[in-house]
Amino acid sequence: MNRRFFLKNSGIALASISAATMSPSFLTRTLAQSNSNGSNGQSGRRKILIAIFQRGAMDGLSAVIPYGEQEYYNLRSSIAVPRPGGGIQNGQPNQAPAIDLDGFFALHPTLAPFKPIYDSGQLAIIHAAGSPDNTRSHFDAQDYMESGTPGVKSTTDGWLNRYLQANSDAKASPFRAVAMGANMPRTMQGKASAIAMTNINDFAIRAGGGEMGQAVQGGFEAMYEQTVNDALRGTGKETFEAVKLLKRVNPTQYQPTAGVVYPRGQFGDRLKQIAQLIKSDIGLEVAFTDIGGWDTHANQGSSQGQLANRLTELSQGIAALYADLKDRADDVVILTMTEFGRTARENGNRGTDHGHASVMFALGGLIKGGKIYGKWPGLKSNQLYEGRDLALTTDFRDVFAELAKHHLGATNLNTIFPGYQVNPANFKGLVRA
Amino acid sequence: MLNISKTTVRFASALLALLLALGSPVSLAQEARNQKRKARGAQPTQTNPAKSLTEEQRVIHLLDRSTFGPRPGDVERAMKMGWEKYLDEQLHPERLSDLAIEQKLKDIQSIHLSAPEMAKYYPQPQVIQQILKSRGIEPPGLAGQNQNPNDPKNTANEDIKRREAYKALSEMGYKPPQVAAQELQQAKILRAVYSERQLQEVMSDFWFNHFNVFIQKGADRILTTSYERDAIRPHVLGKFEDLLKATAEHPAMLFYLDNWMSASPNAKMPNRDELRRMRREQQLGRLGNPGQRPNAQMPRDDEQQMLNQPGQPGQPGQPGRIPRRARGLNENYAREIMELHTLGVDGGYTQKDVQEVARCFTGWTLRNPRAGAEFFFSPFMHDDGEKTVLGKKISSGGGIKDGYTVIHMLATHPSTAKFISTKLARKFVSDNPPKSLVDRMAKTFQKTEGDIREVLRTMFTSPEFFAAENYRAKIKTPFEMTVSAVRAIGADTNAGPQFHRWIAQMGEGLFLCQPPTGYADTAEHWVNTGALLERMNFALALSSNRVPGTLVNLQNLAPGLNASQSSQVVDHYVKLLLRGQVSPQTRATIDKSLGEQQLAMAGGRVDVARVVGLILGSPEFQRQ
Repeated sequence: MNRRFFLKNSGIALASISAATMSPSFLTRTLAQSNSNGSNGQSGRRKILIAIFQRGAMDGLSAVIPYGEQEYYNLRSSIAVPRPGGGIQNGQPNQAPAIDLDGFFALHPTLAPFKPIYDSGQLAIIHAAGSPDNTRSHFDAQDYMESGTPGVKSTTDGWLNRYLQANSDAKASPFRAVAMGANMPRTMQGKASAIAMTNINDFAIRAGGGEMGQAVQGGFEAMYEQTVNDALRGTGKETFEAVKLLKRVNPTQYQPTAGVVYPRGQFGDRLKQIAQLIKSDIGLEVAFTDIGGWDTHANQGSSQGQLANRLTELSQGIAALYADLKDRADDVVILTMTEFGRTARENGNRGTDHGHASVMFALGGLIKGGKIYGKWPGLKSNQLYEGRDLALTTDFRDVFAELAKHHLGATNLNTIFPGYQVNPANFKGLVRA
Repeated sequence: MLNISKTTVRFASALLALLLALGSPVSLAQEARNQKRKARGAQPTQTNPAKSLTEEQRVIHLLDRSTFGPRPGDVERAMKMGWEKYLDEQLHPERLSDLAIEQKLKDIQSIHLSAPEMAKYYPQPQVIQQILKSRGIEPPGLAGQNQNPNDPKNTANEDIKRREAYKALSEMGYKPPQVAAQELQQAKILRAVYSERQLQEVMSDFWFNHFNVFIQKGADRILTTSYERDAIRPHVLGKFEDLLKATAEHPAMLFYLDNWMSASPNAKMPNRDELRRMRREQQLGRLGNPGQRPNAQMPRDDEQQMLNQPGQPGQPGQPGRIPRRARGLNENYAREIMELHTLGVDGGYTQKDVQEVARCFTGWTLRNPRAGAEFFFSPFMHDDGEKTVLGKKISSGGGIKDGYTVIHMLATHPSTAKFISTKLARKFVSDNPPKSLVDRMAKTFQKTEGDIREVLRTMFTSPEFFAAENYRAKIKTPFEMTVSAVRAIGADTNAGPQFHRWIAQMGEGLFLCQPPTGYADTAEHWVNTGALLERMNFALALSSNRVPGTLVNLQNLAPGLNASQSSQVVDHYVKLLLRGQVSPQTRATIDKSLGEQQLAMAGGRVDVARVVGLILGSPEFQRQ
């Protein structure tokens, strides 16, 4: 098969052969929630990974500030975030100080919602993490991180899809892998089934409501069931099974847990829907969404400003999602990633340019949180990557692989990360045994 | 937008081509035998001579494949003319008058602008920031960034700022960058819907896809307009080598596949004068105004790496710049020109060839990236040594000619003839094109030195093209489905973002294909759960006038029709929209749906919009 066969922008049809095995009884099996991925959550429920891609290159140095290192303040005269307990004002009034974590690192003040989760040992931070490839092209770097093969452009599928392929489940729900967004992200492209949707409510025939709409849907369903075209028939049946399953479990009936408020806007909305799908036990195992706006070349701001606004939305959204899934915290891991970090020194526009290593956050009931992982390389000029960026000490694949293995229960890590010798000795120890 | 990607079984997809023939009396056993023969490359035999296409079917088939779908009356006109004459007409679009579409495109400003003009009116985001600051206006957050959504005052402030900024910018004559893409998409859809030169439009789409660039990659935001108009469209039915050359030289491609950054590891350093010239051009490029002082800041991102030469005398107060990775060969274009544009991945090149080709193209770069970007050959970046490409030695000292030598070698290579012929046959004939046809097309390609028109003629006049098993055997792409629906019901559209949105939701956003492979052209790619739902929803929205900017008047299609007689209504639209090619089951389904109370409007009149919506969303209408 030509290696370009599976192209990047769309899903692939279900052949009639597997469609024929779909019967209403699969609905019952799914709802009975057999845990088939080998993990041994005490609840017996399946483990879930929620991947959140911050597109645009988040400045890790101001998200988790190495305030213990004076260089940080030397390099960023106008955009450094003040040390815990106040200090530098940057000539701007009322710049809130960073939130101390361990005496050396501190959280950006707008990441305050993360602090209690960190303190309760369920949020881990991996600093100086990212991709070893030295591209500073958003386009290429995102491609490398999503395909899980830095430096290789010919990989046709995403790392999460390879996880699904390597740990296949013939009884899987069509909603085993869901991307909340308009397009199937690179991360989930490939042979294994995945669904991309922007809105649970739109995943239907939109023919107007009531009996009229039902009749039209029924008409289409009957047509596709009867067509002689195998691809159209197989996929048609899949479509209506998924639509009906979704309708039957009705995920939107699950309102957020009392007290949980998602931030307004697309990001919060998508996280809320991921939570709804999870709570409806529809069979979700891996979820993906993304959030943009991190490319702060100019006027990045320090405690306030552009970056602060993004971090606010990020932390409020993730904290809400985590609280919403409180009852299943042990089954869930939320992982953030970004294609690269930003320059250590600020530029002439009070911003930062494309850099190298950044920060990843991992949250979950069984995450060994309350700690900052990764070797800190330092910010002195001879410690910077190419003299300008935070150097890398943790390859993102080690984090992905550790969670795939110890949280999701994957066994064949080398097929998930081709060309990389996954070495468990490099794992950070993020997951409680 | 919804998508499901599923496990595919290769056998099923191959079988697809055969099982699609509607009402075919050919037995499954015969089909399996035909399939085996097909797999060995032989012509499938027809057990029943009556299984060859009727004259009307030939015309429908030709129109289905070589246009964006017939309009009411098109099939009749082509039948009267005879399909050979129709084909010949389409192969010579210059002989066809096309006033209607020219009129519609007149007022779309950006598609008529040169690249420097584009840069002037559509400045890059960072340049917008500087323009605003130089006017004393505080720039809002970069377009598209949500500010803290939980602070309504913050949002309101940002909205006000953004409106003020856009007002100031448009008063100065500037446009937001996304308008360039929107107008390009709009023009492409309008041409597909309204142009009489349908084959030309189909081929423009094919070649753009073949030589794909991604309009959202940096400078390509404004370079793609000229790329489509100046590098692709003039050559779509001409000589392949001309097309290859035009795309190789065009800034959009040089930028998209990074060749503009590719430099010899032994590149000579530019001297002081050259540096001064380059810096001056950078100033001009950035602000479009020679008088203004550029920001003394070093280049910020990849787009400006071009001017980042090591050993550059440091500007006062600036530390010496550490050389970046780009100081060296960039193999991206070299690989893709062979793998995707000419020879094909199995076309017989090696990794060594990739490097040697990359060496040939060093120095093929850009200047003025932010002021319209021109193709520019930089001797400093060029590797002037001797090279060996595909076994042929290229002497040293060739300079810019090295690149043209490679282009000529690739354009005339037998693997290219085969690769291009295969792609064309896959698009127009079958997802699994018969070897006999591909071979014949490749022979024409080589004999005519890559004359695309002649290769197409060989293809469209071949018995394989008109083979019964290929009739209505391909699945329309989203672009083809939406446009063919509009054409089929004679709708009028402004082809604005509200229309394009549907195409994007089905997975084929125009000019939005990120990887250089372009969009695929096989059923598996387009037939997935989410996309099917969107096709059905589009059909319903279109037929009931719920696509803003698109107007449908179904009454015009059925003058004098008795709308209370549901079977007559269905007959009429099935004949009009599907040429009567509907399976008994589909027909029964539509009748049943109409029979139910729900679809009859008050007064016993049939809801025509529903009928049309069901037909346009039916499995039959997805085929061509």
